[in-house]
Amino acid sequence: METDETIHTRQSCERENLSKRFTVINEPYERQYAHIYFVRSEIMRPKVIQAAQRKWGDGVKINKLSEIEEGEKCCIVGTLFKQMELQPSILKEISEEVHVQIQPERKRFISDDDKLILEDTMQRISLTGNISAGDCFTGTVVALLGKETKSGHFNVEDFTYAGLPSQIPAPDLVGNDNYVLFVSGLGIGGKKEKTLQIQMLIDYILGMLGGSEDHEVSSKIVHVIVAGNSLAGETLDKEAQTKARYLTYKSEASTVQAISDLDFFLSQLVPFVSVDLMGGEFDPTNHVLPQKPMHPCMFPSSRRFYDNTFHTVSNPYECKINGVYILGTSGQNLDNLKSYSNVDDDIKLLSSMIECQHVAPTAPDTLGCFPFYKSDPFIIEQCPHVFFSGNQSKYFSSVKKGAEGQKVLLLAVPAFTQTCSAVLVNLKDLTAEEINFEADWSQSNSSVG
Amino acid sequence: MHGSEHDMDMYLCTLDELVEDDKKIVTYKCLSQELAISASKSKELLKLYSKNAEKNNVSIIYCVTGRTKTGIRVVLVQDSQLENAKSKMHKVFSCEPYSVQKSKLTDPSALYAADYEMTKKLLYKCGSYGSVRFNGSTALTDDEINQARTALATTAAANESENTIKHETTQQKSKKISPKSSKTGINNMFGTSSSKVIANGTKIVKPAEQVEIKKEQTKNEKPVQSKPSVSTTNKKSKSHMQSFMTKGKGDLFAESKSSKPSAQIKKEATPPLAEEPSLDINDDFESPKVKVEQEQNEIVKKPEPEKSKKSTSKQKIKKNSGSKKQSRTNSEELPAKKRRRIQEFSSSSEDEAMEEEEEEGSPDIIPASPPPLPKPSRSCIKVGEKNPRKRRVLKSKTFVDADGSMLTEKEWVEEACSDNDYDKRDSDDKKVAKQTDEPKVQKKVSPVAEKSSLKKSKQSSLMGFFSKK
Repeated sequence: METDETIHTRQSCERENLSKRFTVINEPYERQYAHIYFVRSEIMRPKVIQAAQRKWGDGVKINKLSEIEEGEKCCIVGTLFKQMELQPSILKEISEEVHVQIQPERKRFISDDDKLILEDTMQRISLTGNISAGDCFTGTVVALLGKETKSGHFNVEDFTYAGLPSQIPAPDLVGNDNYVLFVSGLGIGGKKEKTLQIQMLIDYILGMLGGSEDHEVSSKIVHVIVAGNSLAGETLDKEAQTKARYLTYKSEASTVQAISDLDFFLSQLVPFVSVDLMGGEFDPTNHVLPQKPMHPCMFPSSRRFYDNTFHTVSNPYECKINGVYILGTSGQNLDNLKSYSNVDDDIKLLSSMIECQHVAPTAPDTLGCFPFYKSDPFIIEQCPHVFFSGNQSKYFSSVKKGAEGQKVLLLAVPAFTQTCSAVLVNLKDLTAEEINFEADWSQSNSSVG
Repeated sequence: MHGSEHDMDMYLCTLDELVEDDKKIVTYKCLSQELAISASKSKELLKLYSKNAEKNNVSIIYCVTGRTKTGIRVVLVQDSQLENAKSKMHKVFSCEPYSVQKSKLTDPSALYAADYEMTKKLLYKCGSYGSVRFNGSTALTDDEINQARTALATTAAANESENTIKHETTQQKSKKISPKSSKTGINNMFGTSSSKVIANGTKIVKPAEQVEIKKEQTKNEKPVQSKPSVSTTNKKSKSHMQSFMTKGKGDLFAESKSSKPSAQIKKEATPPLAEEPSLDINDDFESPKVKVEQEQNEIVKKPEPEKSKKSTSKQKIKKNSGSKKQSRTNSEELPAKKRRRIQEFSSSSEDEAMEEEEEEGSPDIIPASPPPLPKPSRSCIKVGEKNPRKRRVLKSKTFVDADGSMLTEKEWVEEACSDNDYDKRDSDDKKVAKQTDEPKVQKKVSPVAEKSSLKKSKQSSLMGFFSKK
């Protein structure tokens, strides 16, 4: 009996947290958001100009908006702004003069009438021509090639983002399969919580489930990244705010049980593999990006391994695992882009984000973000090897290659509540595969019987 | 297959018992835990057992792992669906029984529930039955946690002393109490439910003395626990007890503030370690018990500040309850009593306060302490009544820590309150107060209080509520 049992040893990984720029400490929230756009355009301008010259030749004339002359072909650089009629606005809602009809609840706020406007630090100009409002996002810095028309619009012939940032080549890990497991949207405490499947996932990582082939795979998982929404949205319990205090003072917030369940799951994992826990939209941390790491005191038992194999990390999160740079979010950025564009394809969105070198272009317009004023930490200065976004409806992955030989794996990590899937990324060759857990035979049973 | 046949037979027997007799859902995890064998071994065992499944009439859940077009797939299926599930795989890695049970499972979540308790117990060790080893993790040991705790406690104590500078003598008391009680507070924070940790947490002294302390704790608890229930017959003792409790509330950690909860926590923690006779001794024997306890205190004479403090105050409580009986009226509410008790330490003559401090500080004097008796305590209480400008308020304080996380801490602060809050009580107390000769301290305050109580109608008192003080 003992003969067929081989014991595998998991290698510990070299992990480095590179998310320092996403930590906001003691900064006031009172500032205006204008600074962040200013900083963003200042930083991005040279990069975009470089990309424009690469695309249209060094001789291309780059004008400021104030320097454009009608009919002259030139290139202008600025920040895109998409004017959307349907964009929810608190001012519109409270305005008494405009009697807006109550809008149906929408998932998307785009319409055919959306207009694109380009702003630089001085002025703005509305855009026409070969650029579609559906595919573009507010807040991205672009270079446009075209002419100003008589009516004062800018007729776009071509446009470009800054392109992939430069990249430190991935380390050579030949012969060493090293997996990083991504999982997101565990949804603990919700109706859709897949408790047994979560337990199966844990057992799989621990090398309990499956045969020796499985054990070999699981022994090579050197790191686990939990990409947000570990708690279900239901746990937020917004109703609680509306109830009388004396009715609810004895009741425990639903997050308390959920977080202790999460602690229970994590405690099984952390002695055997290193885990990074990111905050997400529904997790008990601050709401606007960047989200702070969840406080370790919420995890009394996994806390014993804190700073050793257990880390709570910010969202967005950037780290280096065995020399491979990984950057990603819990999915708010991607979801927001989806709501404000025509694009459904996760990979396309991820790809355009990395091309415009920004993790969350729509922040601070439609996505809550901290009012930075000296820097814009969401700018991707260095191309990661893995760029992921959690809590998506389905698993997608694709490798994108840049002009300078950059290679980045774009990854849409599915929400566990929806798919019961996690994603294994092999650091050696940046390949990804889905790992799916199923324990739902009641349906198949009933259909048979 | 190696392994002695005897073992296998024994294992199978156990398995059979679990399935047939206990009607349990036996998963490979719970089997490996039950028999202390590895997960693969226990799956092997289940396989063996399931061969006779038809004969045994049990249902089996299989776990099939394999590769599909999209990736790796791990499926739990019932035996009837097994082939179907296998056919969906490109390549089957493994097909092993996951669980065996007597009845047909309709709800998969039962499988999770079946293992939950066990998993909870094992927690960190869950993976140790698996086939993957990992050496890269180190947990904080209990010692390290204790170190962190004591470090935290000392800083907490330091903060505490800063915060409480205003209340003169009471502050000294609370400072002394805080290290101990904050420790339990941190225990709560860590939430380590294991009694072991808590026991270690409270251990500040040498291990040898630990048992002694345990004894003392349990001894001390008993009266604390039982007093309130007795108090139905003896109202006074209850109020004193509570005022005693509230005295400790100068501490940092709100949870640990009232010593009652912390005592309960200790109570939960102690049973496995301390040889506590029986927790639920009936309250009928209340007074004898206290006497016994006193005797014990005298006998033990352990130089433990904690203990001594508790015991002295307890003795005092006894005294008070005895002495005060006649002078109390029914109309007096709890807060008022509380007040008196607090003030007892903050006022009165300096010497007396000093005396009390000494009593606490030097445990050797304790046995001798009983004498101080009714008289002083009575006068103290009178004084307390007349200095009603402070009250304890649970305030939450929000600050940002080094990581930028906002933390909210609740702590008891003694703060001045508006006259009107005490108007009613003042008028109540005045009758009593006027009869007794008033100490100097009280005179400073009382004129205002008297004035306000005389002048103010209901309306003005409402205004006073809004005024900041």
